[in-house]
Amino acid sequence: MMKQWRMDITPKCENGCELFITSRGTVRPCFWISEASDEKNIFDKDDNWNLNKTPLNEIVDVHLKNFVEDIKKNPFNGLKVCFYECTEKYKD
Amino acid sequence: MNALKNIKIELTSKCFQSCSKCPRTLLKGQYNELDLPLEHIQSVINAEPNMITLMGNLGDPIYHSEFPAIVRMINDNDIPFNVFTVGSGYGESWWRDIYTVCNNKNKWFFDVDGIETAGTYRRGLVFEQAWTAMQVGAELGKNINWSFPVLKHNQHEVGAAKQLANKHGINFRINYSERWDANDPWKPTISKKDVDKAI
Repeated sequence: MMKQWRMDITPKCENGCELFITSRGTVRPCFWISEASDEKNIFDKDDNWNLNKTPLNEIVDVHLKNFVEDIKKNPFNGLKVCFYECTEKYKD
Repeated sequence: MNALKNIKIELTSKCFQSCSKCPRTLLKGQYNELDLPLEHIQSVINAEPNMITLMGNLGDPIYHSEFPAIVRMINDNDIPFNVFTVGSGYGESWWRDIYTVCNNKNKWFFDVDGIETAGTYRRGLVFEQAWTAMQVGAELGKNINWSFPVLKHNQHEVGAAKQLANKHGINFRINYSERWDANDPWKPTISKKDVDKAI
């Protein structure tokens, strides 16, 4: 039987457990989305993740929730950093 | 909104140091130096998280121009908080004032890269100032932690740093990274096991 790799992401950022707020007031799901990463722009350039435009409760209850749900539906909706920090890798 | 566990806040993008691998060094000129407005910090406090962590990505939280007021705001709302800093840049009276407004639910982590060699990686760090910050906190009964990044230049100082910390009631923590490029000049030449033996 051919061996296959399966991969699941368990987002540690669910419910805002890892929420990170930058000095500009932008919000990212976690601190691991660093300043040196291009993936930061997904959040930093979106008003839905900006405290200057969107209240914290809406960021957590709507936009973070959608982000987490999308990853749970399909791990390939995750970011690169999600694969580094939140994956469980195992063989079938 | 569900109870938030631990909100991490970069209070400011300002810093007095220029650490070699820090985004502020690597991306110099590509960011503005800003302080997070107090209204956003208040909105985090209003969400009543279980914990707030004041830390940095580009900056060091203690350089927010209203850091003492922020500490007071969080403390007055009885929310435990952690602070991650290098602790350099202020004198004894500044630290005494800060610690005095805090209760004992807080933890302070000082990321200091050596004793004699401190400031080699964290360029601009003044060991005497960082040490004063740690020592005064410990003297006042605060939870003070020296987070020692093991690097090639300071690996020989790990044992002495631990002894110094223990002598003054400061918790000592090793920060030994496993993520290195093969030829990274900062990569320690001793293993984690050797570091553990040294302490």
